[in-house]
Formats: sequence, C-alpha cells, structure tokens
Amino acid sequence: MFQRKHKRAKPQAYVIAEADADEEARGADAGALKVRALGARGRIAERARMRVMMCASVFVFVFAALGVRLAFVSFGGLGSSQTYAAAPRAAAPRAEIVDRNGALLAADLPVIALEVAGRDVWDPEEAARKLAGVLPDIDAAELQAKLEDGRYVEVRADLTPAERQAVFDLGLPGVRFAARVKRFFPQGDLAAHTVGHDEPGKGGVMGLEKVVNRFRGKGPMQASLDIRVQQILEEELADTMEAFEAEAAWGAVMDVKTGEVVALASLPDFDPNAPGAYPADSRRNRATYDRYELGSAFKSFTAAAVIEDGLGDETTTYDARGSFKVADRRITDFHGENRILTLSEVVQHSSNIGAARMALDLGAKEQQRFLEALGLFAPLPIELAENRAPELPYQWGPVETATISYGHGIAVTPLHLLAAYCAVVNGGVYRAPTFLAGTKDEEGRQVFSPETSAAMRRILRRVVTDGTASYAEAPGYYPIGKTATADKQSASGGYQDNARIASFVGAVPGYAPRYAILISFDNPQPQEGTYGYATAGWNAAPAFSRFVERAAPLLGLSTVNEATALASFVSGEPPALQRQAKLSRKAGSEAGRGKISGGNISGGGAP
Amino acid sequence: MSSIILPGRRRGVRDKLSRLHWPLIILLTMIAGAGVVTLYSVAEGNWEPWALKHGMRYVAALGLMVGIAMVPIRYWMALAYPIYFAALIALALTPFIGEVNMGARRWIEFGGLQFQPSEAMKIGLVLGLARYYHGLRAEQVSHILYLIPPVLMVGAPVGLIFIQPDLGTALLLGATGAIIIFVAGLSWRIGLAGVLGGVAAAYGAYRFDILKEYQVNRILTFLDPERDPLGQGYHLLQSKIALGSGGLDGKGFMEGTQSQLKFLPEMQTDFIFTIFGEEFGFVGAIGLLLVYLAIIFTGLSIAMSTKLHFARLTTIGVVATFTLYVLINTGMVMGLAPVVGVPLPLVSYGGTVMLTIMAGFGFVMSAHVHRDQDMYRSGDSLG
Repeated sequence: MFQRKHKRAKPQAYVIAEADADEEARGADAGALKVRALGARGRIAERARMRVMMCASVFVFVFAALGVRLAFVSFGGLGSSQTYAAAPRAAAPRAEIVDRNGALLAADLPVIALEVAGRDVWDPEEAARKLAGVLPDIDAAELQAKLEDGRYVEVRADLTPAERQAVFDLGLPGVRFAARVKRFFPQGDLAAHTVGHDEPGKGGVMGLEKVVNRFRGKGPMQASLDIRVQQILEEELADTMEAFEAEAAWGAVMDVKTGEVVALASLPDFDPNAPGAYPADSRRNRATYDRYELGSAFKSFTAAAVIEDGLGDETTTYDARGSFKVADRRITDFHGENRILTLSEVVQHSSNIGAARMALDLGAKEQQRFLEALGLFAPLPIELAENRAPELPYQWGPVETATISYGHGIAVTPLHLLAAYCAVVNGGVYRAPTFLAGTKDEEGRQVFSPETSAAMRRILRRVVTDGTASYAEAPGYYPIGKTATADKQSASGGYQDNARIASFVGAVPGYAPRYAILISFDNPQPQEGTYGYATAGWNAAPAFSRFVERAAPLLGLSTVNEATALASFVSGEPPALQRQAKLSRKAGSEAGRGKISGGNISGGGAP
Repeated sequence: MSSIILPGRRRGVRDKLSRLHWPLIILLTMIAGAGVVTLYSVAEGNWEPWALKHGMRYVAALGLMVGIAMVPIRYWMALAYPIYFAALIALALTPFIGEVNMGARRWIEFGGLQFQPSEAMKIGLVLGLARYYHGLRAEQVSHILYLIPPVLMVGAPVGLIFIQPDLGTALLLGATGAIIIFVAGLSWRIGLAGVLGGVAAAYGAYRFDILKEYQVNRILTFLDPERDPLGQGYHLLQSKIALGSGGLDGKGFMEGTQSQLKFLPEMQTDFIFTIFGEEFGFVGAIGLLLVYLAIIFTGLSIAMSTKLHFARLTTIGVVATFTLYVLINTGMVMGLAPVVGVPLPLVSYGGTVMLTIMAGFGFVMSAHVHRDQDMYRSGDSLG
C-alpha cells in the first residue's frame, strides 16, 4: 500500500531516537540528520521527564498532607473536637414559617426515635417478637436478622408517647430512645410547593424550607401567603382541572403594589410531611419553575408598549383581514374577526395579526427593551430556589418580533408573566415578586406611564365586557384581564396539534387594581357544556370569576356601583382620590373654567 | 491495516497480553474490590442495589481497558484529534439536546443509553493535547503563538462544561490540561503568568456573579464549615465525625453507625471514603490511599519509560485526572477541599466515571505494551 512505501521512503530523518535507546540499528549514512533529530527530541523528552518527576514530588507531598489530615481527623487532633460537639443534629431549632396572618406553615416537632443496639440484645428472637407485638408495623423477621448480625438498628423515627411507654415496659436490654426533632407541616398539601419540604439529614431541600435557616434566631419567617386565599385558589383550580380533564393546573395571586405573592398553587401537589410518597412530577413547582409559551397574554404587553411609545392609542386601527405574511411565516387569527380593528379590539378579540402589526411598528429593539424592563429576560429574584431563566429565541428577527407580540417563541415561568402583568395594570411600575411579607420593594421600576396603564385597564376591561373573557365577570369587582390559549410545545421542539395551555391573567378591582391573578390549565379537554371548546374563555376565565367572588372579601375588597367604577376607569384615579379630584376641579372650574377636558372612553364598549 | 505496522514490530495478542502491566491491573482490582466491599456495607449487607453491579461493571471496564491496550498507541495517536473533536461537538450540542437532570443539562441520550459528554471530554482532551504537543519542536513549545491552540483546546470544553453548570468537572478538566501543558515543557515564566491570570479570572468570576449562588456557597462553606452547620457545612461535619469515629482500626465491617444510620447524603458516591474510613479506621484509609499512590507511581513510571512523546503525555494526562479525582474526593470528605461532588475513582458507585477511568488506563496500558516502538514525529504520515 501507499503508506508502506511512504514510510520506507524516509524513515531515518524523522525517527525519534533517544540518547538511551540507541542500540537499534540505524543507518550510519543518516548520521547528521540523526544528531539533529536526537538533539531536539532528546531535549523535549528530558524536560518532560524532569517535569514528570516534579509532578511525582508534588503528588507525594499532597498525599502526605492527606495522611496527616486523616490522622488528625481520626485521632481528634486540630482541636476541633468542640466543633463536633457543637453541631449535633438540629441543635438550634429551625425558624417556624407562618403565613401573613400568623397561621403556622412549618415548625419543629420534638419526637422520640427508637433504636436497638444489636450487640447489647440478649435474645434477638425475643426482642424482635416483643417489639413487633407493640409496634405492629415493623417486620419481626427482618429486625431479628439484623439484631443477630449485631447491627445498630433504627426501628422507628418517631414514637408516640403511648408507644414509647409500651416499648419501655417491655424492659428489653439494648433499647434506646433518642430525642429527635422532626419538621412538621400542619397545613399538609396546602401551599406545599411554596413552603417546600426537608429531608432527614439534609435540612430544607425545597421552597421556603430551603432558605428558612436565614431566619434562625430571628423569630418566625413570615411568608407573604394567605392560606385562606391559597385554599380557595387550590379548590377552584382543582375543580376546573377535574371538570376539563386537564393534566395540571397552576395559579398565583400577587399584590400589585408590593409584589408580595399572596397565593401560589401548582397541581398536582404533594404532602410535605411525606414527600417521598409522591412522584417527582407532583413536587415540581410549575408556577415558578416550568417555562411555558403563555400566548395571547403577551398582547397586553405589546399594546401597552405601542401606547407608551406614542405609536398608537386605543382607537388606532390595524388591518386584521385575511392573513398577514411576515418573511416566510403566515400569521392568522384564531377567532377571525376578518376586518379592520382598533387597537383596543385587537386585544379584545385577541387578533394575532393586529398584535404582529403593532409589534412591527414598535420594532425588535423597543420590544426587547420593554420585555426586559418587565423582567422577562432574567430569572426572577425570588426566595425559592425553584426558578428559571426565560427561554428566549436564538435570533430575534421580524418573525420573532411578530410571534412574540402574541406570546409565541418566548417561554417564561407563569410567575414571570404575572409580575409583568402587574406593571401593566398598576400604574406602570414593575416590582419583582417576593414570598416574604413586609419586605416591600421600595420603589419599583416605572415601565409605563400611569396614563398608559389607565388606557390598558380600559382595554382589558373591554376584554371581559365585549371580548373573549365574558365568563370572567365578577359583578361589582369589574375584573380586567386577558385570556391566553397557547399551543403546547412538544418535546421535539414543534407544537402539539391538539394540546394547549389555557390561561387567564387578570386583576381586581379593575378600575384600581390591588391584586393580579393568574390561572392556567395544562391541556384541558373540550366538554359537552362548552360546545367542544377548550379555550381559556371556557375554563380559566370562569375559574377566575369564581375565585374572585370567593376570595375578594378575604382580600379586603368590596363591591362598588357602576358610576364610581366608570368614573375611575375614565380618570385613571382610584375612587377616593377621584372624589377629591372632582371637588378640586369643581372649585377650579368656578374660578377659571376650561382647563378640564372631561375623561372620555374612546373606542367601543364602555364598561 | 497491517501495512501500518513496521516489519518486525508485529506482536501476537498472546505476546501482548504477557506484556500487560499486571501489577497495575492488580492494584486497580484491589481498589475496585474495596469499592464492592464498601457498597455492600452501605446497602446494609446487600448485594443490591450497588455492590454486585459495581463488580460487574468493573469486570466489563477491565475488558475495555485490555481491549484499548491491545491497539498500538500509534493508532490512538492517529485517532486523537477525531476523538477530541467528537467529544467537543457532543459537548456543544448538549445544551440543545441534553436531558435536564437536577437542574443541570449534562446528559445526552444516545441509542437508549445516557451518556455524559463531559466525561468523554476528559479522555478527548488528554488525547488531543498530547497529540498537539507531540507534533511540536522544542523551541515551539514555549513560543507564545504555539500556546494559543492548546489554550483554546482546554478553554472551549471547560467553558462549555462551566455553563452546564458543573463547576467541579470544569475545574478538573482545566487542571488536567494545565498539567499536560506543564509536562510538555512550557517555560516557567509563561506558566506563572497563566496561574496569575487564572487567579484573577477566579476573582472576577466571584466579583461579577458568574458563579451560581450554590457554587459560591460551597466554596465559602469549605473555607468555614461552621458558617452553616445545619446546611451545607452539615455534610462536612458529619463526614469528619464519621471518619473520626473510626479511630485507629475502625468499627469493623458493616458496623459504622454514622453511615448505617444515614447521616450522610450520597453515601454510595461522594462520601464513600467516609464509610470506608469509619469501618476500617485510620489503618484501612491510609492503606487505601497508599494503593492509590502506588497506582499513580506506576503510571508515572510508565510515563518515564515510554519513548513516544504522545504516549508520555497521554499517560500523564490520565494519571493527572485520576490523581485529581482521588485528591479532591478524599480532601473533600476530610474538609480540605470544597464539596464539589467528585467521586472516588473505582470505589464510588457510578458507571460513567468508572468507564472513563478504565478507558484512560487502557491508553496508559497501550503506552506500556508498545513502549519500545519507534515513532514518527508527525502523526499525519499514519493517515
């Protein structure tokens, strides 16, 4: 073959010969070349050998250090034995976790563990039989085998006082009662994902439990949760989830003025007292850890950005006829109004074409600036370890600008969406969510002007009165909000044909929001009562309405009459302030007149 | 294929088997045996779920090692770059097709088997760097221009693994690369500048929040375990208590109370040395360390005796990886290194690491078996 020839042709010049391996026959005629090769290669080899020796010395030195350290650890040197004594299991009690009203969510509970030292047991058979007699749940044969091996066995981690007495009365040798501390979660599966759970020997491994040690010695850790509201949220989620045969559901309630999370649920859930009994899937906090393309809720952000930049107002029109081609992508509408829509109607009827046209007016740069200001580009700085960075497109061209305008091509956690939504409706200030009560984010970040926010409240109110979310109405609270039905991403990267995530994100009271609420269902199925629809308007919106009607009194909200609400929607001021404003206006108009151009809800469908 | 082998250099498989470094095989088997014994004890005297599988995996990995050793080291040299780049591509693809496991994307599925590109990279980097330096002349080794490719070769995988995120493996890989470059003969001045630069980079990473909070916490807790005796520091303290409770001659096989009562996490992997130390005492633990040291010295002596520069550097790389594993793991459980989740080679339960280590020793063994073979400086001529 060629290679053989090739090699035979010029062996000597390239041979790596070394000073100490020279016996093998070499052509004397290639002597000069050999010397040169020998010189270069020899130098490299010599230096490498020296370096290997250096490595060897370092390794020996480090191993010697390890040996010394091992001796110290083994024979209690280093004077650190106090350290060992100072750190018994759970020496310092862990802080309790309470909700915003002081209801207990997690606390240390002293328990007695039962241990048996096999070496001290006289008769393993008798000991095992008698213990099984008073503690029927243990396996006598297994215990006996272990005791016969002389092993040290932990029979039970927690005994009741009665059980302890019964075991004590057996009078068996080798039996020991060890005082332990167990973490107890009195609310069971309520708010389980936020509270989290612990693992023996590891401490808190999830949720607030994981960070509770920061509060050691500082009194209870007060979570921002309200378990009464939490209970209602979980019930409503569970009811609708069952009725629509959804795979999962999640929801959250946030105080729009402080960023405090008042309730947050993820179903299916688990009992933190026995986390191992539930599949890992149930323990995952979908509301803060999973990323979803949450769909049309993003149209609110697009519309608010367009208004804020002065590119349009509630009455600006967009051509939503037929379909709209962006680069190689054809954008169509699901609800298909097929006419020219005002900006308000684009949101009301959830027109993808309209939203895409708005976003292209805005441009990718401005769109990114607003989404980043709304906290949608970075992980949320929440106390829970279960949080994720949003998934952004690899490139951000016109197609991405268009699809992201209606919430496709960007995946965020549900809590990301809710926090951003707060900024749209609360007067334009973004505050990062928090799970601790009273750690108010001082200033927040002004993303939209109060006027833009007021316009968005009017538009989002029309979504309920004259749009896709009529079932979200809760009389007297004038809820505002937006439906979102997004095709679910399949594992392989595309979209699943007939799987969707249906969400409603809203706020109450609509004229001066205090709480923002998100409710989502993973893959709800069409039911007979909904005429074969499984979109958000049919499941998430009614669940939202029921939740508001039940929870509003607990959240300190009361109903107001239509005139008050309308005036507030129009002026953008909360009712009390508005009354004052009216009085001052009256005084002003008597003096000079003409300054006030009375508020005017433009566009269709007054609230 | 046989045309590649020079006349008179061909050896039969039987001849090659007799040239295997049998003492090294015995030492490796002793270590794996210690692993089986300890895993048996951790499972409270059961072959399931770890001990039996560990033993079987070792036998399979030993077969792989001998298989690799039978192939002349020159063939591996020809394959060095392809192996390196294949591992690099797999690593680069992991963020897109990887499985998320415990918050980090490290695994990819390959024909139903899960595999960790970062492990393959440990071999790939050693071979790639050794191949690169094999082709350099003495005056080129310390030339700054010729330093650019190896720095990129180390930097690319280290960066990719760092963002997975897997701090421990990234550091391990970086250190292995540094050792190979050092042994290849880099001048002291450049080496020192590199170390200073690395320290500056580490400080920068800390200052500008490039490290994840848990990674910073682990390092801070290592510096002061009492900082958080019930959280991160808890494992370390428990580990030291358990080791210390073994005393001189240990509590005896399957008698370790600390470990048997499950005070420690990941007993079958990261903290297995603690279990071993508790049950076999200071004597046992020192014995185990000495066996490790013997393996390392065997490796270094093979590196000294081989004629082929590529073989020497490969051997050094494998031995360095192995040594770093041992040092970081045992240092970790004794409180001398941060808790970074590095297993104890051949003792900790886990197939991927065992495979990596044994494959690595396959190359060492191949270097030993074919130690007398002459070699062309440039691997290109091997086609």
